[in-house]
Amino acid sequence: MRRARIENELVSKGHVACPGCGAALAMRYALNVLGPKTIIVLPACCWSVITNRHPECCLEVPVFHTAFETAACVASGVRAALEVKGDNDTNVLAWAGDGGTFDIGLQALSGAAERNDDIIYVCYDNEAYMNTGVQRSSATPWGAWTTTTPATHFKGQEKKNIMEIMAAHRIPYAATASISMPEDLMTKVERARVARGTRFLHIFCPCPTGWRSSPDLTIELARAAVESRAFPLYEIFDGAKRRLSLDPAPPAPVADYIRPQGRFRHLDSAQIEAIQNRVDEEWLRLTKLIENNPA
Amino acid sequence: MKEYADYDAAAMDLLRTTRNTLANKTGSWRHLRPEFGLKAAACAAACPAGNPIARFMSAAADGRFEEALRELKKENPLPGVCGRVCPRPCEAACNRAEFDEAVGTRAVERLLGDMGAEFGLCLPAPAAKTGKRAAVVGGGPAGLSCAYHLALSGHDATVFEAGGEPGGLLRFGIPAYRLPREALDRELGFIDALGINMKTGCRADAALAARLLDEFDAVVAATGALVSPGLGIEGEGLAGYFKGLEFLAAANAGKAAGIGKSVIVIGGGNTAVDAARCALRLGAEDVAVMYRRGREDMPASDEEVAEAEEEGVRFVFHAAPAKLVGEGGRLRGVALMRMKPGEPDESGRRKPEPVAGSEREAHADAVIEAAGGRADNPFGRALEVDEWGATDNEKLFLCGDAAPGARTVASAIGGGKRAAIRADVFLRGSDFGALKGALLVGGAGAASAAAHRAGESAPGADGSVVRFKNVNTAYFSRAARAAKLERLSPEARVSGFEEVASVSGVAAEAARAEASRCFRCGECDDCGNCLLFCPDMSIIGKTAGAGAAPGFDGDYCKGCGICARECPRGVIGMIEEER
Amino acid sequence: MKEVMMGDVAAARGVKLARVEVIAAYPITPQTIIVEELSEICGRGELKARFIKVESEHSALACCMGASMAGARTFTASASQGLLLMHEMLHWSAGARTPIVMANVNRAIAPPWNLWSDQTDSLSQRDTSWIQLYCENNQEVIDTVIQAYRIAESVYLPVMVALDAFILSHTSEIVDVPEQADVDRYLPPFKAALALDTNDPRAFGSISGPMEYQKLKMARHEDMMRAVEVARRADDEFGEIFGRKYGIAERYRCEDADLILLTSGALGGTAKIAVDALRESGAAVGALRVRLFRPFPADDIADAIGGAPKVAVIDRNLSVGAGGIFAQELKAALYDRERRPAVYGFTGGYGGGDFTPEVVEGIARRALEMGKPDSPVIWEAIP
Repeated sequence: MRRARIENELVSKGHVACPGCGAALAMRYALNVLGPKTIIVLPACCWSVITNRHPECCLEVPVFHTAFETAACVASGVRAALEVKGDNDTNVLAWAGDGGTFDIGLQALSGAAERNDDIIYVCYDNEAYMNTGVQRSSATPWGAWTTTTPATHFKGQEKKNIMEIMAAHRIPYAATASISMPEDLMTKVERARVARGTRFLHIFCPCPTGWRSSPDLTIELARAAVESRAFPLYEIFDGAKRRLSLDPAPPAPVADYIRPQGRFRHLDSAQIEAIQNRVDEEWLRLTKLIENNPA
Repeated sequence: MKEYADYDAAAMDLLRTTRNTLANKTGSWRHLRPEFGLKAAACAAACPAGNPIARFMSAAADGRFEEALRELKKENPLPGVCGRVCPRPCEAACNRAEFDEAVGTRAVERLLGDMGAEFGLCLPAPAAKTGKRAAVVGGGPAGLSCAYHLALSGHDATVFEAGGEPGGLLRFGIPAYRLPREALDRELGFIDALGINMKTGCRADAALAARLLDEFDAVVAATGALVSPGLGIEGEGLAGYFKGLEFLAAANAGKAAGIGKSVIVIGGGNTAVDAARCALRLGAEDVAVMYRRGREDMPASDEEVAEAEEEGVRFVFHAAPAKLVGEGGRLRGVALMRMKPGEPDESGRRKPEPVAGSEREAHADAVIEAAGGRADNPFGRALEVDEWGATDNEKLFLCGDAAPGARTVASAIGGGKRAAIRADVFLRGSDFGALKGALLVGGAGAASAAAHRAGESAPGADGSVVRFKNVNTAYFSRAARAAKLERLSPEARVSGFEEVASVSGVAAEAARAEASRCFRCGECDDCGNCLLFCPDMSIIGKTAGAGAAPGFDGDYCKGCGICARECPRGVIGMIEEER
Repeated sequence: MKEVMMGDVAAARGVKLARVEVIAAYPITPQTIIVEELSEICGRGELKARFIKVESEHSALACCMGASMAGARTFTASASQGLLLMHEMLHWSAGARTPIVMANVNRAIAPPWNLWSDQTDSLSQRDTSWIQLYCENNQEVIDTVIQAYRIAESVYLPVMVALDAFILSHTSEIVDVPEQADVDRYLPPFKAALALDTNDPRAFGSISGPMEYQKLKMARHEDMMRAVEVARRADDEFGEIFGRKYGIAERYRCEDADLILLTSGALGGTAKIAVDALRESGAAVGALRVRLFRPFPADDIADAIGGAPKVAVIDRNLSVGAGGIFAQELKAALYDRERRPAVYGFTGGYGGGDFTPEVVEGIARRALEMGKPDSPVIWEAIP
């Protein structure tokens, strides 16, 4: 077994991501595929800190720091300007966290997607507002502790299904990816790169700081999420045709994924069972969708 | 129309960054650091011969068999022998056993050893000649291994062997149906290839010992433990009574005379089982192995016992001879006593005690005593010897069955190697105290001659052994054993001395498939996981090729430990940072 | 060439003449005619711009900011609630030094719903580092949009061109439309000083310490203060080519005045008629129309007031709890000067209240009769 090698190392050492940061890896993989001719639009998120403070920036591509809710529309503007200048090669990458995507940036993202503006939008999902100190977002899963959903009244709502929201916009390409499967992730970034219109990637990025998990478990947790079907890997073409990237059969128990995380420590076995049932239902729903509309 | 620039460009430039983050040394955050030394696989730590199992498996899995054999030969001159007769402590220790099934390491070793027929001896290049002369007394596995490694270290080695041919116990003690002579002879080709002087027909006695100590720069005694103490009971003078090793030697030389119809072998080791199976092959119809303890205490390998049973050998446990019974100088049978387990002895096994009144007579045409030999060393019976074979006499070393320790071929090979290393250090006048801590595989296993010759540390010499918990099984899929042994039918076996077991299928395919199952614990195979999964781009110094482990960039590594966690084979560990 | 057009159309035609490259806007009454007209212009291919019909004003400005950072000349337009929704991006786009031009049609802020003029929307954005220009008529709207790019791209600060709801936006007037060739002479193509460039990869707006933060803020202030002269020069040079200029604070019969009427926007025209009538009647009243509100051209205004003992400010806006915003600005500007006239802060006329010349005349007469001002706010009766 020989893993993919990073040819375009466009994230420089010395960035200030927490030890074991999943989001740092997601950027490495994405830029490896997109290359130096990429402009990044970066709203408020962990990555607006990870780059490090002025006058340093760990990203070897141009970056525009922008307001929390504006990743998609600023990217649309950058693309429009490039088009006017006759530059159709440069990738315009909006790189936002789950808060900037699922919550505050959803309107702008929906606008860009509806217009099918020619941008790549990556949501690196660490399932809460991590940069501000672990507050719940609509990407936080049911049962999770955050500083605004303490263990005594943990989050009681399910994670928003952002992929189906994006599919409803009929964008040409949307895919989920996991940092535990870099080759698959990079294949999807490449598919996104060559497509035109709004391309959406939902990258699952464990966060040791916010998940109260050991930093060395970052990849293991990302893998466990996939293998337990808690985070299925699939693609949606033109908002309709779907393809499963990986069928973890038989799936690992969701408990394997839940147990090592401090944010779920308060859950009893019945509650974990409830998560298992929900994961099973969602998997069934997803696989039926795929069956009915195979890519 | 004119263009104007009515702004403070210098101040406005503060909006944009000017450099990357290389000046920001995030390594200062770290309180754990990755540690990349080569670790010992659990199997290698358990291998008495110090076979570099993960290393040769890496090459074999890629189909690079010649390279695999070359790696093996760095530590062990006789893989084709060990691959047949070893009781497989490696497989018992194999981490994969906890995943699905232990890797068939012995089968791969055997296949690689036999590939010597195609690739030649694949010997390591010897070191430059030292001009030192070493004598090795005894041409069995320990002596040969010792001579081999002495020669590889550049010394002029001479072997003094009592028999007519080199091999010792391998030749006269192990029957051809377990170890065909062509397999043995092929691997013994190293003697000529390395220019080892082989003096056969030299029985070691005190005179020879004194002469060698006088004439050679170093002397290694590997004289074995061939002296049979006998049963110490009445009737040992009767015709039909044989000593096990003598019987085996005669049988293996094709000189065993008629043994009779019914044979009783006394003992519980491999010699007993071999003697029983030889007796069957020499025409005996009823062969029983009699052992004073239970089956669970029997030193013979389960495999040998099972094969023997298939062939019709009976095993009688908890029985011991009280005397041999004869008529007219000819053996008629054995007076037996039933034994029962008593208090545990020094070995932890329960000491057998006779059951009063249990004596009865069993008929036998022949009785073979196989209770195990003892050493009779012409250099002195009660020599103090350390674990490296060093004695009070600085130029005299001891190894093999002549020294204390386990009595398997692999242990003999490992012991010979230790003595060779120890003698080499002596001959070179080096400081052994400084070296010895770095020489043992896994810190407590066999010595690594390859590491010694290269001036490096043996894998896991600091005691780091890769256990199952260090393996990341996410990177392996379950696979049934690929290299399987198939055996002749019991009827075909007992009709002659043809080799019983062979590895089924095409050798190359079987070797490759089985080697692919190996986790290659502790052996970096450049999979790239650590490079790919480091969030801080801090894995460095690794380009290609197996073996050499990567390093880490202490300036930036934050010590998250992902590299260690995601290393499939436990090459990387996390240790406390010293501050 | 002279044409009859509404103020919104004039704004759109200015955009076309300025050869804007990226437009992003969201419709809101009474700005809608601007985006409709631009859609037509772009649709006909008369302007080779990318017009992004965004889903909100917030995104409109964010989009312009992105485009500007990538080197395009950009335009947006809004009003009232839309402008308020942009608030965060007003700060951000100015802080990022993107020379965006926006037309804002001054409209009342809800609740209750009201679509008529009120300058509070734009004036309440005075601290966002945007340059603001207020127009008197439709000719000035088209001309100011063109001038705005000259100013914005000289000081790297965005410019807001304000026009009154309906009074200008939906009122047709004769407009002398500049010739494209002349505009091209006046306005060189935009070359971004700070642009996102893959050949020179840098990050813009990274987390900074107090030193960088304050230096940038100081520089923004200094550059903004320079904009007074830049705006004047832009207007002067416009005058050289097109034969029309407005000044940054326009005086009308201010000489030897006992009272100056200080106005902005469309009210400036009304004040001139009132001044004519007042002078006719023997009252020494002059009018001063503030065209450049931010930066506040304090010297020009003080100079225009000269020795006049009284200034009546007519604010079609209100900072609740403080008073009319121009009045406050004026008072602040005069505080350290030797000649400090009495300032009467009249406010009203918003939400559709019609400030006719008669109303303005009445304000002047009230001010002439009044003693020392005793309130920061003098309410003009609701008509």
